[in-house]
Amino acid sequence: MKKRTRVLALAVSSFLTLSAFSGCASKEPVNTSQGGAASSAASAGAPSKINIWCWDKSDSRAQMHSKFTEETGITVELTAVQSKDMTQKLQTTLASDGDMPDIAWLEATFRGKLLSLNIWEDISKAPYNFDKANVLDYLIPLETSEDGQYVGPECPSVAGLAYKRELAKQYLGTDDPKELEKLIPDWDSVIRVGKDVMAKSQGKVFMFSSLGAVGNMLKGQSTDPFIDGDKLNLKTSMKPILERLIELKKSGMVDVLDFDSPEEGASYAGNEHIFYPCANWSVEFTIKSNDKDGKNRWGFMLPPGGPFPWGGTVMGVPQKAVNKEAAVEYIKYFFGSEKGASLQRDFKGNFSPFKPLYANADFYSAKDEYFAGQDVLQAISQDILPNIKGVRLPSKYDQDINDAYNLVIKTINASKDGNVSADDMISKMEDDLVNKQPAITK
Amino acid sequence: MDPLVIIRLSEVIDMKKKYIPYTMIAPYFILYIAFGLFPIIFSLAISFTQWDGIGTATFIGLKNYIRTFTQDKFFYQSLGNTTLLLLVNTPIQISVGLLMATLLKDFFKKTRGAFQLINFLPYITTPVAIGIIFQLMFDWKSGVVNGLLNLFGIDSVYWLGNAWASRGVVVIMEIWKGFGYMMIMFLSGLSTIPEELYESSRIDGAKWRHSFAHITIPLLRPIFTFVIVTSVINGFKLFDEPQLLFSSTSQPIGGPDRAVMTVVMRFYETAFNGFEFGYGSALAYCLFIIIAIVSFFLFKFINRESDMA
Repeated sequence: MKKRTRVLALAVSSFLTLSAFSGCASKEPVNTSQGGAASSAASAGAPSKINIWCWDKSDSRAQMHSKFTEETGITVELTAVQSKDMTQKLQTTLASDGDMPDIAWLEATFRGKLLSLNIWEDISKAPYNFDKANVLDYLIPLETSEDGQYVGPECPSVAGLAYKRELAKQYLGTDDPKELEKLIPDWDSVIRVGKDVMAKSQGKVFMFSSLGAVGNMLKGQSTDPFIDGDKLNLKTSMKPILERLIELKKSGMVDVLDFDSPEEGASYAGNEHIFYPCANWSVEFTIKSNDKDGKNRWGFMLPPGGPFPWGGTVMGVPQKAVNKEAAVEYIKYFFGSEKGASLQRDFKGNFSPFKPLYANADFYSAKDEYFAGQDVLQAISQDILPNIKGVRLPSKYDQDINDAYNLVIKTINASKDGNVSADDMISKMEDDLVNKQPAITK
Repeated sequence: MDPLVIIRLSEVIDMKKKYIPYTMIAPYFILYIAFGLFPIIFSLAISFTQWDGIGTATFIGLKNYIRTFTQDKFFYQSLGNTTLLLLVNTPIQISVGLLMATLLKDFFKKTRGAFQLINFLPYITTPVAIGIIFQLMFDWKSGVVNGLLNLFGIDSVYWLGNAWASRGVVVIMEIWKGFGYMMIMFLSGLSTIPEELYESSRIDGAKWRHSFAHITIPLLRPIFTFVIVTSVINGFKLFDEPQLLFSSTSQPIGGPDRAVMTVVMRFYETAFNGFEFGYGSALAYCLFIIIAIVSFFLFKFINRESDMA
């Protein structure tokens, strides 16, 4: 009896200890090839599985992946990681020598920092040989690290302007996109027209919902770097943006909502705001999800100041990934072939970076009932994409700059009638950044 | 046989008899060493290095600590914010908790259970939900708080866009979340005070307020010591609520003018957003030193008070 008690005590305590440590166990690598082997698991005929860290685990993505699996034999497992948590999750996994994903999604705001880390494969090199010559030219700098390593492609994320047709007709006299483009070709005309809208609606209808929304457009429409190496360049690059935002704040035509807040989301279904910046992904993820009864309510046009890049998510293959070659197969399929581009278009409404597709004007074409039958896909592929003037190169300080920018946007928004100066805001940003990153100089 | 050998042998036999209890408590110590002690020592070691969490750590001596105290304005700002929030939160939380506990004990005997549960619920509500609830409640345009103010003819306040207003929101969040816990602590203390003391004071003509001041408060001294010390320590570790209130990508870290950036938020941002594990660890140790010093003086002060009493 005593012996049995001792054995039981030992078993229970061992079980307790071992079960607590079980989370620390790491999986046995399935394929630890460093890239020297010529054939991928898929091409060798062996079933292969890749794990992707992403923030879209929707049914439509699963359906899209099942088509890919049918063709290649590579199964895709998705692990949900929020875009803002990706940096931390990757970093802690690396620090603890945990299991890295085969592909990680690197969102635009965090891309600069993440690309600067020497943890990614250059998939344009052997043995992967992803052909970056077929990638839309403007995207390549956004996908390349500061030391020249090509990390991976992304779907083009470009934006125009969405508007509520009823409000446009009532306050601007037309809901035709071409006429609206003529009415507000630039930001000066926005201010002029906006004042009329404010007067007509007695201040109840706003041109835009938030300063952050307008700020995103203005940032995207300029290409001057915010920082050159470690030296800040805000006076040249950020000051004109802030001056314009302060001018808009003073005019009162921009509502006081916080950008990307639940309240701004709810405003899509309301009747107080006319215009919203609209990237290709906004149609599904923002407009349709926030305005459930919005059929025929929306229109799409070229924005004042021209189209601009907005967002973008690079597909990075970590050096420590287990199934790197299968991961690159996935990337080649979805980002470097017409077949994959068709699936991305049909299941996700995404655009492909695969350059040859854009020679065919009808590849991206679909009448959209939310937009009163307007062909938004074609407008983006034929009017928006070719007119992107340039991009701001990623920097490892992007996240810090974005945070300092959010800080001054708050201040401008909180100010009474825009009673702040752009110079003060620039000083505030500079002080904030120098405090946070001692390597940065003004 | 040498008596020393006999003693040692008997010790070994004794140990053999006791190995079952040792085995039973071993999991706790093994897990503590692995997940408690090791991270503490490891983070102390890396606080003397420059390390991005990926490459090799470079030993830099005390440079991280020197940077904290001589260069990092955010450290002082976050320390100031944390102290301010702590100084406002703690007395209010304790007062409200004590008041609720006494009222429930004396005036709500039949419904006490239900009120206890209601008041304790915020404490066990997930901070993410609290963050969202308060974001919606204190929204500038559509929040219910501004709606109420408007009813009384008061202009809407940009709660989450103004430095002092956002501090106010965090204070309200903290009080709402924490007073239920204080109430439970005080209720447990109140249950140890003999009812006879109250009865005899009533016979002597004491009113409720007299009993409260001369019986309840002095006899709750041990509970006061516990809640004050733990509140101060937890107050210095404040993170969840202000972080979640300003958690979306378009919100600045620490709110407007970094008004609610606490020391732990600064540490978190440095280590996990800025990839400065070494400096982040140094910040964490600086916070540890501050908490240790404050706790030491707090204990001294409370002990002196009880000695005088």
